Amino acid sequence: MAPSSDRLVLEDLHVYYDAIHALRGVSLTVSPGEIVTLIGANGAGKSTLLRAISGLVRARSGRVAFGEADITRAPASVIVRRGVVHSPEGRRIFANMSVRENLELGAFSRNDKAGIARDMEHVLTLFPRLRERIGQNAGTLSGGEQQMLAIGRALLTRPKLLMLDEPSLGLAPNLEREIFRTVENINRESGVAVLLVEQNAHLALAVAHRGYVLETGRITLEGTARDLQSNPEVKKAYLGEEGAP
Amino acid sequence: MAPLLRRALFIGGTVVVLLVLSLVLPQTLDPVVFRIVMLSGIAIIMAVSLNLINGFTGQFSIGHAGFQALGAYGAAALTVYGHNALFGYLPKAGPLQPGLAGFFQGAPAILIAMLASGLLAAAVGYLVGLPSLRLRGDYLAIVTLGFGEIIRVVIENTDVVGGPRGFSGNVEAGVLTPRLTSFFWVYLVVVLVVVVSRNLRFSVQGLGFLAVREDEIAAQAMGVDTTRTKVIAFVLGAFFAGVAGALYAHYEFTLSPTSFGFVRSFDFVTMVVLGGLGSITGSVLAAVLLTALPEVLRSSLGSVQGLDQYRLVTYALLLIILMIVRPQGIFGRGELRRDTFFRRGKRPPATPLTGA
Amino acid sequence: MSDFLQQVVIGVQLGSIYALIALGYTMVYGVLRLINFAHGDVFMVGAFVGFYAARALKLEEQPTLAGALITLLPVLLLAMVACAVLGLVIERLAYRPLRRAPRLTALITAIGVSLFLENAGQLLFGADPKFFPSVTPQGAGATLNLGGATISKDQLVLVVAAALLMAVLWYIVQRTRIGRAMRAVSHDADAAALMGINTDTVIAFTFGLGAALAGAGGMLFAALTYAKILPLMGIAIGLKAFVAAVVGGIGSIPGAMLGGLLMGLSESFVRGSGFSRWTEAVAFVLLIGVLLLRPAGLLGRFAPEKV
Repeated sequence: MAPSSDRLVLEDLHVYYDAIHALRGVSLTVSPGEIVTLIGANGAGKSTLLRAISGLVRARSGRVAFGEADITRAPASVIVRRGVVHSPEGRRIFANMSVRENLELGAFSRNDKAGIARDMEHVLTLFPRLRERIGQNAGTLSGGEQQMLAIGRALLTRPKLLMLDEPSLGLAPNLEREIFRTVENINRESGVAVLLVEQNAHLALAVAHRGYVLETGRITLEGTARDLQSNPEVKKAYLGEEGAP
Repeated sequence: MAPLLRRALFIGGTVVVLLVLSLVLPQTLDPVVFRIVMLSGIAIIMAVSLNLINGFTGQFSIGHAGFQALGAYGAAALTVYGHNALFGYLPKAGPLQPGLAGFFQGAPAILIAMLASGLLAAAVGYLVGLPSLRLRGDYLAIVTLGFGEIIRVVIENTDVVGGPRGFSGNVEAGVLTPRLTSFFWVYLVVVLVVVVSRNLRFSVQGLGFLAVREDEIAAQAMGVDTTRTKVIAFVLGAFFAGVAGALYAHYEFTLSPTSFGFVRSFDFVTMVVLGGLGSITGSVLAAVLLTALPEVLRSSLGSVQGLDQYRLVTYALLLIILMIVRPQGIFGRGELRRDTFFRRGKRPPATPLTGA
Repeated sequence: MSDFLQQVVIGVQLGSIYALIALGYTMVYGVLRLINFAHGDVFMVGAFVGFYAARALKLEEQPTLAGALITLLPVLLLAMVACAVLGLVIERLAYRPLRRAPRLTALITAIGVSLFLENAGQLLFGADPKFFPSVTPQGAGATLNLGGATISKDQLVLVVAAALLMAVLWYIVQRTRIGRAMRAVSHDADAAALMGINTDTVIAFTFGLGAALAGAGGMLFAALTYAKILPLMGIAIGLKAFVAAVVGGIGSIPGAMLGGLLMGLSESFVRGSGFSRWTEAVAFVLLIGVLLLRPAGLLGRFAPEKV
């Protein structure tokens, strides 16, 4: 996993689904080594934002840059090669393939055999459960294991920026925390920047350095995680009563 | 009271206008042109009724010709074999009496035939639709395709309706399929299918249809009974295809099972998609275009050796290019379609008739 | 008993042709969710390429089976390459521009491509039937006896060749990098793209591979069953092969093989039992029966439709 000096910059990004204006001029940045979280209600456009960055949907206007490269119009497979990796919502593992094949697919665009072996070993150390199930069909894994596989698969692409969409979705609270601890570890150990979309704003703000609030396709608030945690509007809308001091 | 009066005026006006046209057009139009007008009308019924299924609820049905075949053979068998019992007042062969007298002579028979064949097709549509509508979109397409082919093979193997030779009546008894289909009946059904489609589109039911097309899971979540909605669309579509079959059977001399194969079904799907999925206007215009174009080309170019192939190659190429250049169909396109629809809705619904 | 075996022989022969075509339908559906209606016509093109190649090379009957096989191999390869190129061209020109269009639009385009190939075929090749020259030895010993059933060596060669081609396909799909990418795209194209897989390349490759198999099917069918070679020969066979793919579970490669075999066998038995006029309906009765009982086909997985 490669620390780098590449910064993700979004400028005034607009995305449409047919007539629906899903993103209405989003600008944000993710600096190297940062964990940035994106919070917002269902349908605010969080997943769309990640899909626009990773090339799954095309922006109508605006700009996405990663380091020196403009990746606004690049196809998804090229964006991955640049180190921007998207682990989509719902995990989307290849259920009819083995755990090993899933991980190897993560390394699809790489040719460095030794590096792949090293990263594979690293991922299996990070998620020992995957090592136990390496030959098993990925479809037979539990939800938590599938999430580990999805993250592990993303790590094998050798990301500089890892984008995670709802990694805690449908997981038991202890598993949720485990996943988040791992994300923190990955970030700390190897300096991979993380852009985290998460319903559970509590957890997200606990691990993130900075955060953005997305409402109906627009960024309405941004700040350090600590500021957002104590912001009365965020408390009310996203942290619920538990968030109050 | 005003809306009721308007409705009565609309119905009365339509009947009178159609009746007058029905008496005048066959005398004044060139026979080739009149034939195109009649076949276009039947194609409109097929396309608009298929649009109810494919365009409104977004299901793929590619066996629509099967329902038409059911209607056509059912209706022809009824009028031929029911001649003695029910329709003894009709001539055994040859045309009806000229003018208005002929109209009244044929009216009861064609009405019964249309209703019977429509109900037959609807009943079969229900039987086919109920279990298969649970299937995913493409599988439904395949089942409807298979169903259409089965109907064709069954007809080919049913000797009372002529089998592979085709059916033109009970030749031993000297009873031929009566020529009951006049301009009036074809275009009455055209108006009916357009009005029904339009009303469905704007009723609560219609909103359910569109919701199913846009996002089935979300529609379910909002309380739309998606299976029911799909079955209603499917059965209604089948009903009108059956009626179109009855009209076709009593217009053409001879029915042939091969004219209802899957290639024919594709024609109707092409009309709907070419016109713009979900757009009634589009279906109407595409039906007229695709019916008239080959006829016009045939009659203006004659049957030069190999020309038919060039024509079909050109047709295929045009189809591909049109789909690539305009994937939403000629007349239907995103928001514009919705705008067109709302404007259209305020005008009397008979406007699509201008397409003929 | 011998009658039964004889029907099995005919059924397996027919079934291997169906299976070869069904594979292309199923693979393309897998990666693109498109029913490629033009696929049956690629089979037809394969038969014609085989015929013209055989004529250009002045193929004639060989004294030994081995000699015949060596003679036929280049013709087979040529038909496969030609059809693969045709598949690539069709994909590039007709289907790729519609990647994001409504699915029904792509279906209509497929129908358009099919109509185009059929009518262009009639223009180019004429409507008179053509026949492949017999290349395998036809004299004594051309047939084998198996428990009362007669198997011609032609039939044997056809079935073995089809089986070999399918084994090669299995190897490509299961054991190679591009095969793994195909399976990934087929399972979830977006997720595959996020792994750095160029889905366009994979889709094009799949088209080429499927078309090559259909071309092989067409050439083998023409060369070893001596069937009439006609521009419209792909319609009925293609439709039935497609049904075979659905019966087996569209998207599933073993399913296409099983479905093809099943289709061939049931057709042969229906024809053999005196209901030949109903042969055409067999495919569809089988189809509807299977779909109602197992909506995803015999070996298919029931994937929820992604919105």
